[in-house]
Amino acid sequence: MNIFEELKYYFQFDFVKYAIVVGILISLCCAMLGVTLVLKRYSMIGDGLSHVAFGAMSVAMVLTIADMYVMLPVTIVVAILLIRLTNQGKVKNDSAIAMLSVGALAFGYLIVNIFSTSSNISGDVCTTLFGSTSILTLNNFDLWLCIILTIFVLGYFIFFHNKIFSVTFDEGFSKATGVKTAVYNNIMAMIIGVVIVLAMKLVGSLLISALIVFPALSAIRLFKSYKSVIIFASIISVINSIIGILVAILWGTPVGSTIVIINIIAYFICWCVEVIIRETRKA
Amino acid sequence: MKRFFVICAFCGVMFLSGCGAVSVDHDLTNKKASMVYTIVTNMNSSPSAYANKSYKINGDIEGSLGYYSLIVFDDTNCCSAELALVLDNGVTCPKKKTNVTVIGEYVQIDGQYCLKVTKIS
Repeated sequence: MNIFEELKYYFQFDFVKYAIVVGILISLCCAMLGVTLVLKRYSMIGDGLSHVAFGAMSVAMVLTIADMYVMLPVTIVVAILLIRLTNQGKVKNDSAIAMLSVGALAFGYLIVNIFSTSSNISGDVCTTLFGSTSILTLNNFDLWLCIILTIFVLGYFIFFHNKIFSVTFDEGFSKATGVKTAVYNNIMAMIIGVVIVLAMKLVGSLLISALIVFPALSAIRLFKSYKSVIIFASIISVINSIIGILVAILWGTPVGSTIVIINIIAYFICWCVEVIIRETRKA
Repeated sequence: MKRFFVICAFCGVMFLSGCGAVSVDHDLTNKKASMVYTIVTNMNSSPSAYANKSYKINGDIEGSLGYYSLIVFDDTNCCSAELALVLDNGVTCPKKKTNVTVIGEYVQIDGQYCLKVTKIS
């Protein structure tokens, strides 16, 4: 069976179509968010919050309730607290993230081992941490939840892009000109929490930072204006996710790792293109 | 005349070799283990979408005393999914933990979805 026949076979299953749709939506959100986080030097916040989400998901698993009902509110609350603590200077950004990250991961794994009723704990944990097949086991509810949350995230970035731009580049000046920076920071923290929980389905807890950081860094290599960086990061993130999902389906590789490797290759290509353009201009 | 008999013999062999082949809607024996694991996981979580279709799947047999299941692993052997089996009349189950290929239809019996196995090899 050649590649196209193989893909045609798999595309008859709903879970593959859901995976592609959700992959596109999540990578769009991550790209837009990633540009802001990279510019504000919050690149590792995704890592910390994803571990918090893992801890919350472990609690949901033990209590046998749907994980979204616990993960979403916990991650959003922690994101808001984290941003507030670092903005007030009470705790340094990297220290806060490190504390939360390891603490939540250890707590989550401990309670899953002690209290879980699952017969395959290591499999469940592996899937959640590395996103090996979680994007391929979505149901209709997951799909619609993702669509609604993505509309909320994209709507915020589209309608408030001017305010986001000013708060990202010079928060002090924005505050002085009357912009309610605390409100925008809180909304941004909520968006971060939502995107992290969604992205866990695509690449797993441990690899989320790659989905947030790499598209933004690839775009920054080639473009200088904020708008161009956002647009290019979104396009390249979507393309990388689609390629990653299709490669994983065809060759049986873990989806999360495959998407991250494709992102790394894309970053390397953008870096080479930047070098070529720079050398051409010098000549 | 000799060439005619050779061609007839060749056609006879090709015909007979196809006689044992069973046509199924989804032959998962030539798919990657991770995708088989994913499909079986989805069969368990959204069974109605997969019902009333025939499947050919490779996996390890588990169970005894009339209650059997097929265990499939992903490529890393880390994650496993279990598919409930019901053996059709005349079908006998091999020993536990044997790697087998089952052919059957995914149906609902007494409110539970399972693979009604017509052949085990």
